[in-house]
Amino acid sequence: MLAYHIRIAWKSLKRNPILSALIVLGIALGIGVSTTFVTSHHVMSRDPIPEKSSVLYYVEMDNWDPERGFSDEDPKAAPNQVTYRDATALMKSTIPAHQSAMYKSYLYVFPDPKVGRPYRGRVRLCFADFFPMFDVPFRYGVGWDRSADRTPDPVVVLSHETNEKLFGGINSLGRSVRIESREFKVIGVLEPWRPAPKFYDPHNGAYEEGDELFIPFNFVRPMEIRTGGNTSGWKDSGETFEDQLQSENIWIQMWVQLDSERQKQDYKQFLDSYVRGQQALGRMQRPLNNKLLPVMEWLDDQGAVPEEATSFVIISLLFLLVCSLNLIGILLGKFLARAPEIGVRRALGASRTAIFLQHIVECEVIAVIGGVIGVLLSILGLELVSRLFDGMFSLRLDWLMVAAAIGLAMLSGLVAGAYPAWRICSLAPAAYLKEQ
Amino acid sequence: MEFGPIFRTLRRNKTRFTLITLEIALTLAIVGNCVNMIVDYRTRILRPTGMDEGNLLAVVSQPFSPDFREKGYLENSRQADLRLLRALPGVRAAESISSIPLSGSGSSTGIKPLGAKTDTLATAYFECGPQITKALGVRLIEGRDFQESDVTEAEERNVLITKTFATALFPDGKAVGKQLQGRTAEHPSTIIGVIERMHGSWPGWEHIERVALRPDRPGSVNWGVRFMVRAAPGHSTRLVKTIEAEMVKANNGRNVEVKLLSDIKNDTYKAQVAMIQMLSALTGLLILVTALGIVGITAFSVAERTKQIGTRRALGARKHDIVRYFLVENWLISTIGLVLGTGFAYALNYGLVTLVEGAKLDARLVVVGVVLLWIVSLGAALGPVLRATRISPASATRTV
Repeated sequence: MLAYHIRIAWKSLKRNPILSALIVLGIALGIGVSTTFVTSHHVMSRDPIPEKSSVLYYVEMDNWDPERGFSDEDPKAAPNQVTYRDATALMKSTIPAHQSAMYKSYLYVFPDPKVGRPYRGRVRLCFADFFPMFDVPFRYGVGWDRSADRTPDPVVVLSHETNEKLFGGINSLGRSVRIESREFKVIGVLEPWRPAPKFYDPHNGAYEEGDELFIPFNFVRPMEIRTGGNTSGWKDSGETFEDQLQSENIWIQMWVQLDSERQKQDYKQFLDSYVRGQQALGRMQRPLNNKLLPVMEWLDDQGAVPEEATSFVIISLLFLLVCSLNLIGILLGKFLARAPEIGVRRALGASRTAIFLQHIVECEVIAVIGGVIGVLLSILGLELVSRLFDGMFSLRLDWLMVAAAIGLAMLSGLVAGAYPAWRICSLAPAAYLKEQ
Repeated sequence: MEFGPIFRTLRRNKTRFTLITLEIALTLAIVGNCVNMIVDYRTRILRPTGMDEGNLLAVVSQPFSPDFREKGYLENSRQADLRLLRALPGVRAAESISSIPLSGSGSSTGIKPLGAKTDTLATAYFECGPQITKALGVRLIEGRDFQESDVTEAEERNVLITKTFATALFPDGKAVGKQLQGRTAEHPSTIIGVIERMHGSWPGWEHIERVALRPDRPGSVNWGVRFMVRAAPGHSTRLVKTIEAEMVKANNGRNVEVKLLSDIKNDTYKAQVAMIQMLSALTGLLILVTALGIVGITAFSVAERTKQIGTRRALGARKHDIVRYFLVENWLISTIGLVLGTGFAYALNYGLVTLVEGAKLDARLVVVGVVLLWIVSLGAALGPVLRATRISPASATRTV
């Protein structure tokens, strides 16, 4: 029966190809536009590390001005990074499964003069746990181990792109890279890895490019490496590098992996007692405000999804609504024009249900064709949006979005077709037979 | 006019006319809000920055040679660069600055009048050499400009601030000669002059026009040394290459990056430009869809009334009577839709402004949208209606 309905529907579409094309194009445009923007929003608000986001936490504590909180808008907000003093103290904890303080800097990298001039590379200073904690994929070698953190050993992990640039993409393990005035030994090369949003450090834009080189955090002191990210402060921070390290300026991100509720409670207790100890020493005079933020909550706090993305979703769904209204109007006209034919069929014994179903099926055929074309249009749309933003986001459809698009198309077809189909099936056949 | 018959027709075809009314109303709401956003973004991109934007170049010198760590080397190199830049043909002025305006990267600080009990006000601030107003092309409207002697070792400095910031600090408008402090009253600075307008580092920030300039010798080995160069009209593009070549030739222990300030600005506003383009495309597509919808519906209502039209023609109605009938009908429907749509437009705007940030809907845009959609609606109806005039009076009799 379904096959029969589909065949009839196809015939009806072929009878007036221009009109049918217009109807299909209308629904395809609506689906194409809304899928483009819903996908953009979906990509931007997606969990960047789904397999681990339930056990990763961003650490915040309140070391701010006793007289004025960190944020004027939100009195409950804690400073969004930590000081060097606190980061190094927290790293002494043995509770987390993995933990790493980290920050980024721009340091001069000296390639072989035959390869190119010295350039400033985006270097992340972090602990050994950074790699296992964030499931960072390696092409060659591995990250350093915890003993290399302590010394610190002059070892470096290169991003895929940096390995291409410096060594032409070969297995460069054991080779040497000069960063500023020191030689570092390559012990690992990553697969292409660019978490988007850059959840572990979204301070300079959630869609900032990936880090290019990774070296042990403890080079901060011997090499006097200042941050290349954001620094916020409220108190005079002195002149020398050591003054900076001891100051209340915040510029370090602190991440921990806590595998169980028990671990989480223990760590929370550790944090609280650390801050109470600091309060006793005269620091951190604000009320206790320690936070362990899960990945998605942290990203939400940082406004990783641009607000405009939400506006575009609303507008594009309204666009789809207009397309659907359009569809209802046109289908109504199309179906009613066919009233005499339906009159004959009804007179010959076709039931109302059969007529209704036949028209609904016709709408669904239109909707599915429109939906498929709409998905193709949205691939084009996403490509255009990505290009407009100069590759800031990598926007791609996933199967969930394709399914959602076709589902949305079928729903619009159903909603738009129901009324016209009901109207045509409830016509009294006699009136139309008379005129024939 | 045939208002009577038209109203009766509308009443008999309630659904179809409700649909088209709703469609036009929603279209107006969406188009109005999209154009409102476009205008808002454009205004922000095009607002005056106070600087001689079109002729400015930003130069970043990023040292890597260890020589730069030797005492005095960086400062000597900065001064040599300034002499070199100022001597280049086509350069009107050049000065060093701690970060590049409009680049999205810079420093901010909190400042208040000395001794005030209020919270400090946040502002962008730049450390810069004494010829900075000439190098940026900003206009001094009160007090005096920097002199060489303002660059001192003392913590207490003379500063220049923008008019907007001056008004925020001193609502009575008298800022020159007043003293400013940060969080504590240590090392107050003195306002020596007020600049008409200058944009700071972050175009997304609501207080982009709050700027303080502090005389210094900006630059460090880590952060590099930055210069603003103001070219004579027509010379800036050519100077991009010249400056890079000349500066690297003068000292090869560094990388030099030269960009037009207008390019930096475009890059900072990249997202806004992209959104303008997306909104324009959406608006265009939506109007197209609505126009096609009107073509379709009008075509159907003409086809349905073939016999009626034939009868009217047979009874003596001329072609233009038929055209007028359908166009008046169309106009009536679109007007009802547009009245409703004006309400929708404000409702949608209210929703958008509450849910996400955005600008209030400009009433003038609604008027423009109404006129535009009137024209689109009539234009779309015209095709099918003209076809209706080709219905011969004979068709009225054929099927009886």
